Order: sequence, then structure tokens, then C-alpha cells
Amino acid sequence: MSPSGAGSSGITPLNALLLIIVIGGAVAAVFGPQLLPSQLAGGIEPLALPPGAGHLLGTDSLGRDMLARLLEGMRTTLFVGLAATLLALVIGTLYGAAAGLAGPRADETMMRGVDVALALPFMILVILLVSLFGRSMLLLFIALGLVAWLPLARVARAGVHNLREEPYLEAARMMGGSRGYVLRAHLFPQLGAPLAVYATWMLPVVMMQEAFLSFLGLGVAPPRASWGTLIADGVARIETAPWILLSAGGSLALWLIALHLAGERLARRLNVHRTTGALERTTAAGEPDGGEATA
Amino acid sequence: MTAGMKLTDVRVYYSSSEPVLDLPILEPEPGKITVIAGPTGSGKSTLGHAVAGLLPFMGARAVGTLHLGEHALPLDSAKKWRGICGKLVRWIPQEPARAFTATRPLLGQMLEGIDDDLKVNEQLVTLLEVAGLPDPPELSRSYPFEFSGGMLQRAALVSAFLPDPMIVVADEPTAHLDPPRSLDLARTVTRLVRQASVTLLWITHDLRMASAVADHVVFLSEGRIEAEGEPGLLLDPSRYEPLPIVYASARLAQPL
Amino acid sequence: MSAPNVLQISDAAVRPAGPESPLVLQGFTLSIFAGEIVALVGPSGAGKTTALRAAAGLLTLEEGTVRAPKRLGYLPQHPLTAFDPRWSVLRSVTEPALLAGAIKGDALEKAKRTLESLRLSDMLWERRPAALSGGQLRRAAIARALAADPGLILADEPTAGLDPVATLQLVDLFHQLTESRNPGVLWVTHDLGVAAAVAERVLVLEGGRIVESATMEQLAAQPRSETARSLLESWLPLDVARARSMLSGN
Repeated sequence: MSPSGAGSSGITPLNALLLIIVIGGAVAAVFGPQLLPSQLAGGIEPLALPPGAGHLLGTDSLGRDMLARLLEGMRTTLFVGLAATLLALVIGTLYGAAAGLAGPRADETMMRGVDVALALPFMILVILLVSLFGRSMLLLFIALGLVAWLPLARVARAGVHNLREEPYLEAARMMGGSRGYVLRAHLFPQLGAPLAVYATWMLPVVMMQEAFLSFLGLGVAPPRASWGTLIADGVARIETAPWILLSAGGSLALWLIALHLAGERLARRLNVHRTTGALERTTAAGEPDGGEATA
Repeated sequence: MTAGMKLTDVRVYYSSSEPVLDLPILEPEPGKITVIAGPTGSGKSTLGHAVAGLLPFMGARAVGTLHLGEHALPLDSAKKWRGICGKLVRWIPQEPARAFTATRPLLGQMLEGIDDDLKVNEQLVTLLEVAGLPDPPELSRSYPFEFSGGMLQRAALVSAFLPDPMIVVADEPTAHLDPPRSLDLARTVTRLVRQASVTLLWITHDLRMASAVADHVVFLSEGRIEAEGEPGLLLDPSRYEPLPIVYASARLAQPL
Repeated sequence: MSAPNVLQISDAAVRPAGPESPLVLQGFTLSIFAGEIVALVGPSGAGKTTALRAAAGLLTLEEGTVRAPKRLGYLPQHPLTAFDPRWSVLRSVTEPALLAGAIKGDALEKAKRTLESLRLSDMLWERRPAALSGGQLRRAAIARALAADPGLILADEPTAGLDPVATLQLVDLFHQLTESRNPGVLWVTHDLGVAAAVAERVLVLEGGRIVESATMEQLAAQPRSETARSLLESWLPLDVARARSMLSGN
């Protein structure tokens, strides 16, 4: 009698497609720029060329191959997104777990702090930081990470707080396990699932934020490309060179949707509620606690 | 209200092809307490659900009919039960004292879902008296937290006997209750049954409780009736060839 | 001749819910010898579970001492939730021995042998708790309580909610398996019938302390405490005539 609702084993065609897009895109982003350096086209007049001979997706306004630029832009956005998410994971988990394990007053104080911080307008903070320190990738991912850790802390705290009451933790204590042992062996391993799911939800969000900031001109500086800067370029030339916006915007949308959907499927398979991070318990098939002692 | 009740040709299936309940006929005595006894998995809870009209909502496939007074209710159709469920057949849950929320006065909660005001008024005063509870005006302005657990239990029991049902089903009502509370529940229920003259089905695996309350006993095992009859006969291990559950209950009651 | 006592609680006072909360145990003294099975009875809320937790060393005592072995077996009330849902049954059954410091190989061997003696098929060993039936889980819980050969077993109403057949089976199984191992057992219950079937000696908990200690026969014949009397008075016998008269209040 296996638990129901845990998701089918094996990979459906849609899941396979999603995985190909997500992983393929990531690999291309990481290794692509090496293979397809985006040099300026020769000539005095930098031209925006439509898709055609030599340039699969055309060129941008400075004559650089669109595909190459895209891969570079993807790489930037992806790296910033990953770095920020990682930073958020580390800070958020430590803070949230500490609050979840602490006594009620400390817990309350810590989480109210998070609530207050969440209420602050993050855009203004980032603009402030950029104006103070200038534009750089480092600044970008630190700023984004410092914002993203807040909701993650909530997920971690909720997870720990709910798991605290579980009878099997008490059982382990009754059998002689120390508090530290019980946390290490029984509680923390269970946090992996909700945090992983939340991170896959968070990653596209952070990447969008980076793209948006870069679009506004607050993100990376040229010649570094980010998806956002490419889109900005595309918007500026929408009438004369629509393929720029189409390829940049289209690829961003496609990749983020794929990532988002893949995250959703992961959540369902791991039995975690998407945005609250709550672990859903699969019920034992049928039986309540009765049953004969020999069967 | 006293009326006849009869279950005929009942077969209930969940996920397998073996029925969890298979009863050609069951006809409890009107106005009396019939105990449905058996180990876990014997189908006794399913029987309770069948009588209460709940089977269509539980994912069960069922055939058979519940005859109630002049109604003939098929077990697989929820529609025909409308107006019957909750009126002519009432249900006593486990841990009845927990049926109330702290935020509203007690009487309102006891009468929730019952809209036959006339009938209610007639009976309410008598039933409250029988159960040893304060009168309606006091209950309508008091909140649950002002009463002891025992009194809340009795209040929940009284509402199961409103407004004048034909059948009351009690599904393991004393499960999880400590002995003093169980005894109080049994006393209250027996008094209410006599006062309201309903037919009560008491589902339990506690044979000592059955000894105290049963007018008639039906033993279920693996979905079928294994034995049926007088409590004095069936619950006496020395006189009746013991069923496993009787034997086990006797072993567990030995030193006392 | 005196066997060593495996559990000794002396004059314990405990406020389990925190410093401002009421004392649940007070002047609580209890001792259990090796091989002795003792039942702790009392009405709901009297503090029986608190006594178990104190014996397990989980509570800070305001007063008094607890001396208990490091190796403890625990038999929970609800087996399904008392197992880590992500661990295989075998892993959970091996856990107590590992906690007590055994080497992995030994602990694993003991766990397997105990599971066999409880007739739990080896096909179930690698499954997760959710895949087992209620009855199988109860046997797995017994296996976990016994596998490490603990000196003391703490049982928290393991038969609550079970029908008489299952209750008797569990009690008999428990006796069979503890015969050779000889642990001390503290078994909490509010059912006098179970207490009588399981234990040689019954302790009555009242007002935070043990007020009576006797065999069930002695207790039934001459109860000395209010709690014992109340429990006996609400004990319905398996006898229609007597049960009915008790119901009508004679």
C-alpha cells in the first residue's frame, strides 16, 4: 500500500521537454559564450541585420551576433540569479531555523523583523545602493540576495516550527536521543524538500528582478550583456529591428516559464505546497490506527 | 419517535471485490438499544455509515435498502435521503464534548441545523432535564467554557436526540474516554433513549459497555453477522461458545 | 536477592509546561526492578505521560532525582506518527541500538532478528511506515522498543483504541518477547483490564504522586485511594446483570 498522490514515477513527455529546456538553456548559457564569442561585425557602420546568412537570430544594434549575445545575457542573468538565490538560501535557512527553534518571544521578535523588512520597498534600496557603489554584478547579486532571503526565512521557520511537534521527534528523544541528534537526524533532513522547492520558485523571480534592473539601466554595465539590457536594446529598436526584442524577450519568457513549471512538478512530486513550503503528509492508505497485532 | 427500521440485502464495497459488509437482513427492535459489536475491520462502522446515509459520500459502492417507517431508502442514492439524513437519523460522534466551539453560546450550537422549532420546544425541556442539564434560557446565554467536559458531553448527546429522530447511531462513542466519563455517557444515552423512544444503534468493540447498555447484540465479523441475540447469552463466555472478541474481553476482565 | 532496580525516581517535582505553570508531579517516588512489569494508572490528565517523560530524562526536575538506564525502549500510543516517515522500518528499528553506542553491524543484526521474532516479513523492512498496516506498525514499534535489549521499557498506552482481540494479542506478544530479555517495564494506561493483563504490580497516580502500589487483586479488593476507588467504580464488568445495575447507579 504505497501512499497515493506522490506523483507518477518515470518521466512524462511534458516533463522531459521542460527538463530539456531548463537544463539545455542553462548549459548553453554557461558554455555558449566560449563557443560563440560575440564580436563586432566588420565594417564602419554598425548594422542591425535581420536573421539570415551567418546570423541565426540576426544581429543587435552594434552588429554583434544575436544568438551569441543572448547566450551571454542568459549567462549573466543566470549567474546573478543563482548567486543571489544561494545567498538567500544560506542566510534565510539559518535565520529561519533559529527562529523556529527558539522560544516564543525570540521567534516572535525575529519574524516581526522579517515582516518589517519585507514591507520596505526594495527597488528604492537597490537604486540607493547602485547610486552609492556604482553598477556591478557583485552588487547586484548581493542586493537581490539580501531581499530574497526574507521570504525564504519564513519558509524555513514555518517548516521547523511545524516539524517540532511531530511525535517521532519525541519518540527519538524518549529512546535516548539528545536534542542535537534529533535535530540533525530527523528534523533538518526534512527541510531539504520545502527549501529546494521554494528555491526553484525563487530563482525565476530573482532572475526577472535582475533583468528588470538591467533593463532600467541599474544592473550590469556594457559591454556585459544581461537579458535585461538586450531587451532594452530591443525595445529601443522595435520598429527597425524587431527580431532583437523577439529573440531576447521570447527566450526569456520561454526559459522562465519552463523553469517555473518544472519547479511546480518538483513540488508535487516532493509533496510540498508550492508557496508556503508546507510539507503535506501523504496518508497511509486507508487504515486508521486499529488493526490486529498479527496480520 | 418510535418506528421500525430494517436493512435489507446490504452489500458494500470499497476498493476490492470483497464486500466490507454483507447483510441479508438486520431489523433492530424499535425503541431499544442494539449493540453492533466486532473487532476492527468487521464492518461495524460501515454499517453505521449505511444507516446514516453517508455511503455515497465515502466512495463506497453499495446495494441494499434502509426501510425507515414508510420510507424505503436505497443505500447508493444520496438524493432520496435528502430530508432524512439529519432529521430522522441522527449521529453521535466520538468525543462528543468536543463538538462545540468556544465562541458561541451553547444552546445555539446544540440546535444548529435543526429548523423544526415547534417540535424542538416540546422536547428540549424534557431531554435537558433527563440529562441533568440547566434549562434552555440559561443555556442560551452561557458559553461552552462555563461548563465542565462532562456537561458538554451531555449537551452534545441531547442534540443528537433532537428533534424527535427515529434512529440514532452512536459510532464508538466511548472511544478515548476515561472510565468515569464513559460511564456518564452510557447513563445519559440510556436515559435519553427511554425518554425519546428512539431506536439506537451503538457501535463498539467494548463488550463490557455492551453488557451495560444493550437490549440486543449483533456480532459482526469480516462484514457478516456472526451471531445475534440476547446480551445475557452472547456476552457470557461461560454459557456461549466464545467468539474471539468475547474470549479476549473475558481475559482482559479477569481479575476484576 | 534484591534485583538491581533499573528505574529509580525519588521525590520528583516537575512543571512540564514551563516555569510559571502548575506542578504536575510532586513528591513522586517510583522504583522498578529488572524484570518487573509495572502499570501506572490514573484518570486522564493526571500526569502519567509526564511521569514517562521524566523517567526518560526529558524534563528538568524542580526537585528530586531520576536514575534511569541509558538504554531505553519506548512503545508509543500511535505507531504511525512515532516513526520518521522518511526512514525505512529497518532503519527506525536499528536506531535505538545505535543511539546506545552499538556498532552498526551489531545493531543491524539485532534489529533484523527482532523483526523476525515478531514475524514481520523481510519484504517490509525497507518500506516506509506509511506502507505498513496498523497491525504491522504496532509490531514494528515493539521491535524497535526491544531490539537494543534495553534495561527499561516505557510504554505510553500502546493499546489505546484497540479492540479486545488486538489488545490481547499485543499484550501476549509483548510478554512472549520480554520473557527472555527481562527488562523493567513502566506501562501507562487508564484501562484497569489492560493493567491487570500486562503487569504484576499496579501503581496509582493521584495528586502528582504514587498513592497506592499493589497487585490488581489487592487493589480490587481493598482500594485505598480516591482514584483507585473511582476507577473501580466506573469499571463495567463483563456481566450483563452487574453491568446494568452499575449503570442505573447501584
